[in-house]
Amino acid sequence: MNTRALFTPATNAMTLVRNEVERMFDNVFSSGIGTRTFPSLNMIDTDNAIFVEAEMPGVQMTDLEVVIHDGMLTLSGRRDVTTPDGANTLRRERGVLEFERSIALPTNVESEGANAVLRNGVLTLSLPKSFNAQARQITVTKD
Amino acid sequence: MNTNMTTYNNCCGTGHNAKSNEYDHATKRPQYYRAPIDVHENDELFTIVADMPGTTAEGIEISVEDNTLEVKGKVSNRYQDLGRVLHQEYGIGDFHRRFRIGDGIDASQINATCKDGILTVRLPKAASVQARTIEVRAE
Repeated sequence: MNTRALFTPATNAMTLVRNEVERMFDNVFSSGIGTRTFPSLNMIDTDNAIFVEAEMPGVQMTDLEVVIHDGMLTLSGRRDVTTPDGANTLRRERGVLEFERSIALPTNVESEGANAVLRNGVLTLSLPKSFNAQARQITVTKD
Repeated sequence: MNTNMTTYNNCCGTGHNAKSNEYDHATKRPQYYRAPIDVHENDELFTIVADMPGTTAEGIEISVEDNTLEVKGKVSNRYQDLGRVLHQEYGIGDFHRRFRIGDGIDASQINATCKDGILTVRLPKAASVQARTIEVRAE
């Protein structure tokens, strides 16, 4: 079984290209040894809102900034990766002390009604769609 | 590197998003993810720090058997059928990782804490392998 087949593929070719470019730059500039994009993001489209979820273990609410501007969502912050006193590090796979990631939102959202929860190292953002972006049924009336 | 602790590199795939092949022939779930770790050592203990976002203390299971330390973290399927997935960089699944530990670790004293999606496991060294300074007294 192809593992990618379990996931819904990216919506279009442009998204794929953008992701690849993003990852490339993240790898070059990430301060940690790990080459994984941090934080990893998932985005889900529902009728009334866009849900964005980000895995950011060890990040504190006070060290996190979430900005929505011009159709872009930007997450920035830092986390402490500490070494116990007097210890040698035998293996380091976790990385990234400071991060900043931006992702384009697929529709206009009401940033006023946005809701963010950081729990167990997972950030969940609920971004209500603008009224104009919500699917509506238009009733056709007779003349 | 001290031989008291070895990480199984090939236990659960090659990276965070790699799935274990041994489960692929079975049903879609369970799928296991390999948590990235740091390992530290000082005179008294080894410390394993693992990124396991989405797990809580209740969902973590740690066992030691035949010199193998096994760590499992349960992650609930948070948004199954919530809507259409537009963008996905990680899957939702449990974490799993194994380590070989030597006799130099006092298995009865292993303890762990979980906070903000980070699991910290402390493996105290057995008294017999801890570096000691022998005090010399004047006669």
